Amino acid sequence: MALIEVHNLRKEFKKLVPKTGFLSGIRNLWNTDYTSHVAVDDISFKIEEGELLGYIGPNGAGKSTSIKMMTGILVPTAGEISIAGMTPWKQRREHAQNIGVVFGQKTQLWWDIPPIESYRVLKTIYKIPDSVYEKNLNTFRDLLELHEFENTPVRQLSLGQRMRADLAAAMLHDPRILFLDEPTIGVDVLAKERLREFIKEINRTRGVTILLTTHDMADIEKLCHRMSIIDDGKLLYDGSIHDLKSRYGTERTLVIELDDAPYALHIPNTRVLREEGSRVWIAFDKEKLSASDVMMKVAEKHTIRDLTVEEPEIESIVREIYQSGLDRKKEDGHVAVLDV
Amino acid sequence: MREHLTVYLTMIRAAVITRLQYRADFLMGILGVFILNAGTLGTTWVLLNRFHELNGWGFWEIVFLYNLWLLGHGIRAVFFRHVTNLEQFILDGTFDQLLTRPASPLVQFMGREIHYLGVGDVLLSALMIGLAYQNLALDWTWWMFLWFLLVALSSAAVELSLLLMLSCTAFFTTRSRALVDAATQFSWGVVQQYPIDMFNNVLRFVVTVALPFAFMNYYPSLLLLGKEGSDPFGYLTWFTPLVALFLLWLTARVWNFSIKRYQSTGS
Amino acid sequence: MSLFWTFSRQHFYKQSAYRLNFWLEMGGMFLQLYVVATLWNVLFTQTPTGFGSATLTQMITYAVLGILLGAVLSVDEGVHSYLQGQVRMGLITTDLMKPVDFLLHMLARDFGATVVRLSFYLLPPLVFAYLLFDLVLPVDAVQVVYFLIAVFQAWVILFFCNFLFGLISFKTLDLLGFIFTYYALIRFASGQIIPLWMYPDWMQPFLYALPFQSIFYTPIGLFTGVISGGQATTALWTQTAWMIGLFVAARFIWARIHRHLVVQGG
Ligand SMILES: Nc1ncnc2c1ncn2[C@@H]1O[C@H](COP(=O)(O)OP(=O)(O)OP(=O)(O)O)[C@@H](O)[C@H]1O
Ligand SMILES: [Mg+2]
Repeated sequence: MALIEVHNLRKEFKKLVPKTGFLSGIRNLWNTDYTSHVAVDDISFKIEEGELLGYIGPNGAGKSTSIKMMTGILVPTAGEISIAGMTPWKQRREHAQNIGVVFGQKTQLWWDIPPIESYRVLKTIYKIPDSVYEKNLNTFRDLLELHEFENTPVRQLSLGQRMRADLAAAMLHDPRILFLDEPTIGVDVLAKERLREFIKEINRTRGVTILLTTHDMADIEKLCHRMSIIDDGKLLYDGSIHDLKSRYGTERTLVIELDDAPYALHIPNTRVLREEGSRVWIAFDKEKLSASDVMMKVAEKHTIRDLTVEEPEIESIVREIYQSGLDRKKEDGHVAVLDV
Repeated sequence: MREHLTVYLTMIRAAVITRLQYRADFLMGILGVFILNAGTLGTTWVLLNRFHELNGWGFWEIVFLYNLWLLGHGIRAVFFRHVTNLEQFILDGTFDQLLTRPASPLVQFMGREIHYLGVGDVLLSALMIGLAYQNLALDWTWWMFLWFLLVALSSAAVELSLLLMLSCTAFFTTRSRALVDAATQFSWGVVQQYPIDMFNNVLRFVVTVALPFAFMNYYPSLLLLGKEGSDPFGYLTWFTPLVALFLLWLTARVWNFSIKRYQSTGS
Repeated sequence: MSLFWTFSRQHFYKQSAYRLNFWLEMGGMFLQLYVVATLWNVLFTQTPTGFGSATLTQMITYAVLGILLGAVLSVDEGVHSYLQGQVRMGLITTDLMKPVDFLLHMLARDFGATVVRLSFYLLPPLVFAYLLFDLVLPVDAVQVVYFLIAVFQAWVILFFCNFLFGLISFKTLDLLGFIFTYYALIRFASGQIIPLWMYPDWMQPFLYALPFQSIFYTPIGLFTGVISGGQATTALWTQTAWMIGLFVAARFIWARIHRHLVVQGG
């Protein structure tokens, strides 16, 4: 049995439908029209002990809602979750002892006091033995350079520092599972690097199972082997990043530098993306053509001075998946889940 | 129980450290509380200066009534001023975080903040009750003083329970502020300032049964001022601590129920 | 002028977004009305001569207007709470960068809020209160016009008082503590609850020397007919004088603070 098992998870929220049009302001005073909004729609997956899973999706996809159910904050409308053999919302306290949670948007530390004082409270709440507490704190002082700011009130910390302090807080009680909801939000490149190092490190050395959401695909590429994409509450993809690239990222871009200006480059099954002086970007589907096919077609009319083939960034694949989700929504609710 | 207490005390420690950062506000806040209450009492004084009594209650009796309320309110405000802010805790996600920890959300929420403004209330009300005691030439036996202490704590508990129960609506509607504000008008706008025997039975019913704020000051005062005969329901004065206990019990139930609802609806 | 309407519309939408709030506040207001009406009834039954020359109906009308106007001309929320919020969040510079005169901008913002409160909290409850209680209404058109002028001027005076009060937050960042004092002062000295003539004689000169009586006592007095004849025009001119005086004070003090802010770079 996997460490985390999620079966047919579903969450609905009720929303008030505001009145529009004539005197809408006044008519809203006795408005009682509710609709039900499905934030998480029939999601199932499993996570094995020690995995590091990237959980991504556009704004409002239902990522945070899923995490809230897995951490025992919310009870699903339907479906089951079993984490380390427990149901989060039923055995909330025992479950809480097993997990660490970071909501990047909102610190769990006391705002006006130094992190070290917050840690003391957490020590009591999680009943952390002195020895474990000291050992962990020292480790995090090393890994996250906590000592720089552990005595400064949280409100005076930079976002990067605060996030480090929050990560340490979530790890103090040696949780088996860590839920990170946008842990790199608003953090600069260098600080991100450091956070990623830490996340990787605890996953590797401590075997902590991690579920992480982010809008930064670099996080995913550098950290995760496996990712899940959800949109509009539905699971669109669940698998390795490698597979995602080979499955959806069949488009390649050939960048060619010519001797002269490009003209009459009408090669079937390709698109010219961009021209810039003597350079040209040509996109093709690697299932249909090979790079050398394209190159030869170009060489018939031009002298090629230089060329490179660009693999798609995970970012652009994801963008396309999100975009197709948007288009689908515009087509008025017609839903076709990508076949995985 | 011991575990709850340990968690609570550790959290209070953090809350005190937080508060100490804003020491400068302390004196100004206490002064503000004094002036605010002086303003309200001043209005009563202006009236009674002219009319001498209000429905059988003299100026110092009303002072006593007013300040017994303030004492309970002050004790509540020192430790639990933030209960009416539950709405904000829920909106900004602080509450969700309490749910991810292996401790009672209620204990964690209660221990989250302490406030010094209530200290001003307590000081002022103690002073004014002392003055009223003298001016009314009261002469309590020692057990009356003990009863008085019990009453003050009950008064705090009554207010705490009612406010917390009302604030629990934030778990259902996200916005509870307006409801709390409207309901507390029965407290500071009615019960605190006026002897409720001057109102009609509907309003009396509301502040005795529906929102029993009258147990913060009116009913207990009847005994403490030796007026329990002046009201046909005067015997209720003996029930003050019981009412407080009952309300605390009820609040715990309402709280648990509301959290369950919140977890399944999410708003 | 369009600035004024923009803000009104904004506030209108904000107000109607929280529908439950509206009904609850309405309920709260009627509770207050009932309480004060009972108070006057009890006192009147006790000592019919206690109100001096005023009748019970006049007193109850006075109370109704005091409470309704209190909801419109708000001491809790106003330019001072806005200023404090902006200063605290460090957003005040964005206000200063707008290409409108700051004081005018604030006035427009406050106007919007007040107009909305006026349309929600004055007229509908007044009609309702008229059905519930025995009220005296103005007998001639002049009285109505005087009342409207007085309400307008009262708004301007309260705005400048709030503004000047809010400027404290530039020094302290926080109004807590001060706000209680301010609130108590206005409550006690404006005649919103108890008409000024019922205060002890020695206190009256002080009360009349403060601007606060212009905010509540003057409009309510005019409406109920407690202030009439020559007194009425005097009261209106007193308001005008306060408006101008406070305007000059606000301009002057604001200019100094503004200069200071520019020098410090915000
Ligand atoms: N408490 C709530 N009440 C009503 N609707 C909610 C609630 N929480 C979330 N939603 C709705 O559920 C949907 C999913 O929200 P969720 O916060 O899970 O998205 P997300 O994937 O985390 O997005 P983001 O990347 O912006 O954080 C959204 O449409 C949101 O408006
Ligand atoms: Mg989210």
